[in-house]
Amino acid sequence: MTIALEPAHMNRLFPSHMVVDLHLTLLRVGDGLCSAIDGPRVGEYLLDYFHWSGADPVADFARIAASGEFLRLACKQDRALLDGTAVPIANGYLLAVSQIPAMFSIEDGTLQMSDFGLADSIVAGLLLVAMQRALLDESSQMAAELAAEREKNVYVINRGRRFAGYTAHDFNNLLSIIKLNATRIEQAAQIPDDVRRRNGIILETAERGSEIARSLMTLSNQKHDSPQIIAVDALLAEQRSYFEHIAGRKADVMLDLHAPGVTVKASTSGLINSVINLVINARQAMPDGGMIAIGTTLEPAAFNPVAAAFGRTVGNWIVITVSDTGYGMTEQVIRHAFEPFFSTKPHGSGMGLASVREFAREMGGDACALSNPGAGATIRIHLPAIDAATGADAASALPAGDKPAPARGTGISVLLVEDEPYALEALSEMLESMGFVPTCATSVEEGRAHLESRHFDILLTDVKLHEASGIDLASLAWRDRLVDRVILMSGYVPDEDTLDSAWQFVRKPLDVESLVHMMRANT
Amino acid sequence: MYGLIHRAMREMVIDTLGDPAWLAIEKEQDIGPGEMIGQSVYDDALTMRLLAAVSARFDKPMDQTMRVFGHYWVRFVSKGAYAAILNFTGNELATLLRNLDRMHQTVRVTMPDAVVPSFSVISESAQELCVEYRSQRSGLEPMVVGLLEGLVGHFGLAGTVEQLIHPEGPARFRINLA
Ligand code: HEM
Repeated sequence: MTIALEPAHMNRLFPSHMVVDLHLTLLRVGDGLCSAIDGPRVGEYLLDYFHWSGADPVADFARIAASGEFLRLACKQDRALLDGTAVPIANGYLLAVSQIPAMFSIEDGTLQMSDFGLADSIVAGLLLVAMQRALLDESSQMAAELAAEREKNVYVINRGRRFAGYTAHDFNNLLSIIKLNATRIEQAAQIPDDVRRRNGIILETAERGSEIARSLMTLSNQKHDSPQIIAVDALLAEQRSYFEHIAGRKADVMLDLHAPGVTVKASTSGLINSVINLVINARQAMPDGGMIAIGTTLEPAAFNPVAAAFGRTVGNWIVITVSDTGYGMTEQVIRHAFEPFFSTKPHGSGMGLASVREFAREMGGDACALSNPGAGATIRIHLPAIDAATGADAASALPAGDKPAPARGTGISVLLVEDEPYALEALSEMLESMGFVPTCATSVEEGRAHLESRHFDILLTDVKLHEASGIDLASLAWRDRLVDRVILMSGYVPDEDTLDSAWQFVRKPLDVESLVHMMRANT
Repeated sequence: MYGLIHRAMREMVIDTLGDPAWLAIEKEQDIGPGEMIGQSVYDDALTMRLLAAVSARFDKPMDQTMRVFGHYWVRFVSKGAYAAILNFTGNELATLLRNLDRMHQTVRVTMPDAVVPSFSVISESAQELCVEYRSQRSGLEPMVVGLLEGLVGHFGLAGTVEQLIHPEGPARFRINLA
């Protein structure tokens, strides 16, 4: 059976076909070949355009046409290949060949679907590779979106928790006042029985109220999973492919880890989320691609600016950096960069850096940004490293001082710091009635002023004060030996890492009896 | 439809009306990133519900919004990683339309639940192109007008697109080139 094919049919089946005479002079060139390769033209010698290794090409082509052998023509101008065979026709050969693209990629835009035959499966292959690229791009974009969304939710949940925490704390303070005053009434010598009974109800109800407040505070305190000992370099190296995925195809991720074996006490998910947030920011700062470097270094506290700001000179700090080669940040942007809902991006949530700083601070460290416009940005997360020998982290390492002075009798002087005036008044009166000598302060400032003027046996301070933390006041008093003992009062149990082991702690609302017992013991 | 279409719709709203408009749609339709997964297949009813919500935001009738989405889809696939596919399919209007079926059939290999259209060029001259559109879905013709207008713009041409009355057979469109 003889099949006659018109040139138009040949163009559809083999757009890159050629017809040559027995001496390999071109008689016809398919439409597809013209657009793919510059030349070849009718009348020219085939092998001016294609490499041929055989010594006698004319004989080689005759053999291929007779046997239907495989024919490969490699283009001299570029790396394009034509695969197929030679078919004998009158006084020549039909070269039924298809293009095999050198790069197997359509990304540079040089290949066209119409350059390939309708039955050529290469088209599907090329499209599939391109589809795979597109889907990969999309999935890395989606991973970033989902991570950002999760971060947003975490932030909102944390805000809710914090709000619940503050409310519970205030509620607790009010209960404290009620309890202290009810205790004073109870202790009064002459009160009618029915008043005593009603007072008992008030005390009991206040106690139930404090249980509710306590459970609310416990719930509100669980922001991240509980801190664990993390080997930072190992964790970052483990997450590398995740970071690469989030960075997208255009950005390269480089790990530059110089803190092998160094550990911190932190929430694992919090740390990973923070680095992910920074990678997302870096990616968005480099729309045309670039380099994201994730690094770690160990810095002695003495040289670390964050440690210095915390007044800590002992131990080491680990600094985790995420740098990009993007457009950088101006001074003004850096100033606001860590504020919640601040974003320079059109679709930015403004949560990324805010939550990174929140995490770092919660873990006893901080985060800061360095940048020059046009020269990329670096975000640094500073965390106190754990001392391999003692197991203590740099944040809790206070310079050693003499331990408290020995016990003394009644007439014990107490610096009482409490920002709730009614609670302060009730507690102070009660302590006075029990033989203590209280001095009252409603703020850290006021407390500090008293400490500077004289020595106290006991510092009894609320932890959460309006402007600052009672722990800071306690640290100062303890370090400079301005008091013999520290007793903290709070509805929360403060993070152990921030406390000195010699300090004591009472939970609010106060149980006056146990407080007085604690104050009298050891003195 | 695949979430890819929802993603393009989201981009269209954000580009045109800004982030808050899309956030409002998400809230009112009770959807989030879970409905924007490019490789997930969602019920066509959800896609249509989203389109209706977008129409309400644009303050335009549905068919107008579908047409605008047609324009946007061409823009969406002519940037990023899809651009290579679009450019490979054809570097001029008639060739691209002739090759669309082949491209969509390959797309189906990676997105097996895609319901893809079929286009054929039934006549071609320097001034006009007549195109037939076949689909398992109904009601998408206004989007096809937008898609064809989008392609005219993509190739830097000027022209108009109209749907021809052809009650008996598949939908027909005429592209009048200026
Ligand atoms: C790179 C370019 C393109 C890609 C990746 C692509 C992909 C797709 C996919 C995945 C669907 C199926 C949606 C589903 O059922 O879930 C689809 C449908 C469709 N596409 Fe494309 N498309 C592209 C370009 C175009 C162009 C340029 C046109 C212009 C005429 C077009 C016209 C359509 C139409 C009309 C449908 C609706 C299917 C129906 O009638 O049911 N597409 N496309």
